[in-house]
Amino acid sequence: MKKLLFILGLVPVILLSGCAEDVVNNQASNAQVKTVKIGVIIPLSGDAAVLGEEVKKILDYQLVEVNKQYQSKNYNFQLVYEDGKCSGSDAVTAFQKLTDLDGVKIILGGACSSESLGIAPLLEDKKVIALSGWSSSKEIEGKSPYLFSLSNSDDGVGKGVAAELGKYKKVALLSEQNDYNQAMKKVVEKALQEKYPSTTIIANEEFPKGSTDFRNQLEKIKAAKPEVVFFNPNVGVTSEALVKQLAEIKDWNIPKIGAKTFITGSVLKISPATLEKTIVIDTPELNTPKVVDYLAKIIAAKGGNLDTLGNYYSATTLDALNVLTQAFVENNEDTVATRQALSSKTYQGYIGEIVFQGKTFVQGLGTAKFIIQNGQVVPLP
Amino acid sequence: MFFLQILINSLVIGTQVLLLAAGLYLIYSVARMYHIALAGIMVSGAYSYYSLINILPALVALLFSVAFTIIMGILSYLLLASLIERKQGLLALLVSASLWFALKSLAAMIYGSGGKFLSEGVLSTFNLGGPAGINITQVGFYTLLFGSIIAISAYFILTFLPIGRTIRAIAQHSECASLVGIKENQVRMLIFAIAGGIAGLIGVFTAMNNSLTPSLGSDLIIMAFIAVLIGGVNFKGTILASFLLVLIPEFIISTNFGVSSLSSSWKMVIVFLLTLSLLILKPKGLFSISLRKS
Repeated sequence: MKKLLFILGLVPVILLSGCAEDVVNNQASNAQVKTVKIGVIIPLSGDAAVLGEEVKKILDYQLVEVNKQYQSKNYNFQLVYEDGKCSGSDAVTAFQKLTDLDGVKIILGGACSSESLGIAPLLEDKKVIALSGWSSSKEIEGKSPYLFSLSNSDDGVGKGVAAELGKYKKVALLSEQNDYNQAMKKVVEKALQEKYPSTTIIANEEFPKGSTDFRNQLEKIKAAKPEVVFFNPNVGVTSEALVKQLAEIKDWNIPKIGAKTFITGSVLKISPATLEKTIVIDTPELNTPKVVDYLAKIIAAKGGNLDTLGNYYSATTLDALNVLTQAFVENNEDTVATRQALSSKTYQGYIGEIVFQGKTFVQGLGTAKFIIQNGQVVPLP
Repeated sequence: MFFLQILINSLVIGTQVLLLAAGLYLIYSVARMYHIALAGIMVSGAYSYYSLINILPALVALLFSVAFTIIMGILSYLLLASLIERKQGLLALLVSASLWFALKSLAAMIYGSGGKFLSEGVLSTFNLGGPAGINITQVGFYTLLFGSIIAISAYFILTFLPIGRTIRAIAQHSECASLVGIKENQVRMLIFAIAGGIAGLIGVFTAMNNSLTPSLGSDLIIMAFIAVLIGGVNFKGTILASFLLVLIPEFIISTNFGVSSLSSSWKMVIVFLLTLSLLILKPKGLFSISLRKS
């Protein structure tokens, strides 16, 4: 009986010692792998959700590659998505959740300029870095030393639009009332006033964010008889609804100008004939084999398309994740040192050389002019 | 042609407001509450059409969607019946508003809050006078057509038919109406069902003409509510107010050119200023009925 009890007593000891060894081994291996959460603030709902969905597709794909790259350094990055809803207030809520509950120190976003403008004042206090691949409003320049953007500033695009409008005497503007579009409108108005004084804005119409009925406004613009109209809506359903209703007006003969937020792949499919000969001013398109092939792999793996982002902003999505993780690892997770590095060093990305030179926006990008021909966006010399 | 085009476009919007206002008016008449959940029922009808359109022909999908919103109208009555019987109009309004928000949120959770289109490509239009003439989308035309039929029928029924007299009897004095054998609850349920069906129909048409989001009808229900108030809780007044609230702001904004041009963001400001003016000029409504005090 005593022997039986002794043997029975040994069994749990043997079993537990095996578990203890496993626990010790696991603790040792876990201590070596550093899990780093990266916050992502993008619109996952609302009219701009299509943008957020494409960004997520790219980031989810690229995260696997990033983790492979840093596996040897025992890093494991995780993406924590929060819905910025393309609004400053929701982006702030998302930011607070990411920093207070999830403890993130680095953030990809905001996607919309409203989101970036919303979180900018909060970054420095918490020493959190935000790198956006997409925010373009010139209002974000200088808002925070911890905020960076790989997008072309609307300052450049707006001046390009003004240069195009400046070829005419009477022009009209139709703009959405949100941070990005209003900032673009202000740049265009200022540039027209300063550089093209002979050009008059004879109709300067606006509509509330998310509107979907533009019929009376389009008729009003048509009745004002401008020589050209600059369409300035945000990406998504708003742009699509605008083109649908423009197509209903059979006698619309006024030339059109837009930025790429107006002319996305989904918008082009709605009515190519309506958009024929529309001039588009935006960041130069990226059609290098390196970019095109890599994006094709992402589409093959994740399905769908990247029509809303296009090549350039798909590339900035990749670069945002790559550059942010690179800088963070190189500076031993010190966000102060990481910020300094981002601000002063040169990085290589799919968009080419990435250098901020102490500014918020990446430097050295120009703008390009395109024309819509047969449903395609064709670069103009 | 410009003014005619603005008029046609505005009449379509005015009809959308009218049909919601008619539902609000009928329900207020028999239940003494403002059933603003009609906006949520409108959204539900549009989303059910969105779900069915890929598997059923368009007309069948529309009929099913309207049937669905008729049922929703009845269910909303059952939810509010006890509050209506206890004449707790304010509480019923709060419950109705909660139902609206719940339906809106449910639609957002199931379908996402991004906008959708009920048809691909460009809407077909009718053109009067060639390409430079008047355009109206086919959906806009059917909105005007069905809106006119429903409004005229409702006026005819309310004025000349026995069921209309029954509704007016309940509206004037529900206790006396029940004393003479009128089954108030059945009449109320019928009215809620009809209002739900109309809301569903206009939800589908509005979503087709613009786009479909969970916030569909939010502006329309506010304007419909105001139309019922300034109409004097009177059907003729409701019809007139619905069109005034749309046509006046649309014309002010659309015909305002140059430096002083007003953007469409001013629309609701003009609506409220108009409401204030009309309530000051005619505090009892445009076509208020003076009742003899007993």
